Amino acid sequence: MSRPFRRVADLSLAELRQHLRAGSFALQTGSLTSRIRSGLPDVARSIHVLYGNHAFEIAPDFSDFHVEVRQPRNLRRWIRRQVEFLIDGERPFEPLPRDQAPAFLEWGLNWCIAASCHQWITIHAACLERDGLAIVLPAPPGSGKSTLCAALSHRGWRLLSDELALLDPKTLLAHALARPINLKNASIELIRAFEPDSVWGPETYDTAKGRVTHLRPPLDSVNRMLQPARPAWIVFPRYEAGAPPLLTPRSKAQTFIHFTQNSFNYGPLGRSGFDTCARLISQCDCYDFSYSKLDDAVEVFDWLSGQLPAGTV
Amino acid sequence: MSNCVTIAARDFVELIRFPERAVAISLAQWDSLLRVAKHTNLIGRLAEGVICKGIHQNLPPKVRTHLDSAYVLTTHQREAIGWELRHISKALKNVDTDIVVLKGAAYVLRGSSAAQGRLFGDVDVLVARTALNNTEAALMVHGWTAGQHDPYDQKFYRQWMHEIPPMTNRARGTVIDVHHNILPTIARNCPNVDLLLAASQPVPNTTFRTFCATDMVIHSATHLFHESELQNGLRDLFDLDSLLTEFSVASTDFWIELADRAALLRLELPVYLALRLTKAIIGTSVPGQVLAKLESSMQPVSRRIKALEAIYLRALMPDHPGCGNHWSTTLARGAVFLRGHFLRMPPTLLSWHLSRKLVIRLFRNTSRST
Amino acid sequence: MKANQRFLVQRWSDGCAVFDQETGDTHTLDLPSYEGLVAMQRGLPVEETVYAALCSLHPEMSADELARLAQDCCSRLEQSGLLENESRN
Repeated sequence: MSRPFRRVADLSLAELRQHLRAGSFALQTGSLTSRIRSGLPDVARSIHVLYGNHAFEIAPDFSDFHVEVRQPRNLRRWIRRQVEFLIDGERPFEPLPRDQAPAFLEWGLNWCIAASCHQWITIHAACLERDGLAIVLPAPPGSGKSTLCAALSHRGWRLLSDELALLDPKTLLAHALARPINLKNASIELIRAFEPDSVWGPETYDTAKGRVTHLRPPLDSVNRMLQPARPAWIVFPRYEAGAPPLLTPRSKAQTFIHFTQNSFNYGPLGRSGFDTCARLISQCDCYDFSYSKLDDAVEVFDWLSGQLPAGTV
Repeated sequence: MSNCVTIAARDFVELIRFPERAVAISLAQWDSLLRVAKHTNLIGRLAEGVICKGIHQNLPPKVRTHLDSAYVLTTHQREAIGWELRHISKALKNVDTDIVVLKGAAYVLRGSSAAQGRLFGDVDVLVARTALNNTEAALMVHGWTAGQHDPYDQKFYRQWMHEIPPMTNRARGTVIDVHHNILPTIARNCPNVDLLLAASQPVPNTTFRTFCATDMVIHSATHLFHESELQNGLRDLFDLDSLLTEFSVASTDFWIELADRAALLRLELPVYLALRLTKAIIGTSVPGQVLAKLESSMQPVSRRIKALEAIYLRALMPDHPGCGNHWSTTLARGAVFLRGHFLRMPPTLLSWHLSRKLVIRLFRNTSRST
Repeated sequence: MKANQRFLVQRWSDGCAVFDQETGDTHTLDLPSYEGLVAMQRGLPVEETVYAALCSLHPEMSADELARLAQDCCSRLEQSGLLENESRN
């Protein structure tokens, strides 16, 4: 970013809380501006920690999303306390337990992007960049994608996103958000050990999901969040306890099915969605990857970063 | 939000009618305009209007992104309705009934200007009541499921309403609403559906029919003025404006036919309100003698009707911070909410239904779910 | 990418993706099945074409096995709604 901008960490927590209460705080993630309102202190603390390096504005003329995280205006404010996420006054979700407020902001923003940004085809996948080329890691929950993404983002790969690969149909480039990485249960300890200097948001517990928290994205990925990258590899990761690292080439036709099945808006995009995915898969090398140790995975992906698909300039 | 620039509700309507005027507004006003447009489900119309009027390139890039996104959705959705109808046609080909396509899907089938920029939800069809079971069964065979409705909701739909519970297609996630009338059978002014079916017209090259022109308008008006939730109210008014303009240009007899038909179906009130309100809010050219004819068949036009008109005039305005969230709109919407429910079912049933919904909301979501 | 009236196709060495513009459905097909689809559009016998394509891919298989495979391909094409019954052979 060439012109000077203020980072969230430049604000004191008290100042941030004030702006959030007033609904005038607008966070920049990639090319998107999200104006956030919240009177909840844990939400403010979480933003201060997880988005410390991100640019922000106060009361900008234009924001892409206007969101709010607040307690419900009914009995659930007091009894079995809950929290709501609103996008422009609408509630797309049922409320969550009160202590999950910071996480709800993250999931809510994910939904905003997946539900309304049709200038891109959005894939439920992690996306990282190295030497100008991007890797896309589509994966259903439980595949270890986020853990792998967190590890790679601290070992030479720039984080674009852990949840949402944003692909431009015209340029086929992947666009970045550089937002906090969502991690659960054992992955939390794994990454803490892997990267002792990592910075974390608050941890919550839920009977369905278990322990949940977010990891602050590396500084470099935030600094370069306006730089898109050209996807060169599509890799489907699968964590398997005790497994040696194994990278196997994958049929493009098979990749096409699974890739589109992991897309949020493939259907609504119709012909354009088909065309974009088809061209993307044609330009990428496609693999399955099973592993059990993060260090193994880092090594394999180091090797992969040197294997340019045919036709790459 | 604290210091956001708001757009007056009237100005919002003008900008949807005349999108070329939006080239003069500020970025801050665009912020509000886009949000209100999304909230009222009119962003598609705004996007198509902006492109049609050739001002797309003059707009700020951030604004263009949102409009482009909406445009992508609306153009593809129009196509998707066509695909969905093909699937439905295939599924129902052995069911012995006429299938009348309603509302948005009908606008697409007829190539009506009301389909422009419209975002579609479910596909609505109407079949003979006697064919309901076979229709439901055929849909289930072809991959639609009845959805997760508890036994109360099931009973509510089947016994009191004019439709069976919505069915979702497992493979595509699309939803179909199968109706057997345009109003609940227990509603006070439920029309004779045989009259509607008899006047329906086949759509060439398809197995479907749609209502005739007057009935399409009457259905749209009836639906709007029996609705309890009005978030789509303004959008429905714009639909009505498109239909009225299109049909009145196509046939000089349209207005008189509309009034006569409304009287025959005993649905003068919603049609009267529709004409009065599209004229007042959107500026639709409605001939005075049509209104006079409707007034005479509802003699006398009571204070109650005039009060209703005033309520709807406020209630149809966008209820959104971008428009200032005027208290009178919220109040009017509250009045409409009750009226909508009241019209559809008898009062004793109404209070049970509403209180049950409240109880469920309070206790349904525990800490275990997402 | 090839496009004809009804289908958009992207072909790779191991199969292809097909977008049916009439239904909005997306399919992936192996190459012999795709040959069958092209044959249908040209009014040529489908099962024979699929059989021939399978022959060149699998010279080691017996005629019976190939015939069974060809039948399977055609059934799958029918189930996907890509093939009309009459045009099968």
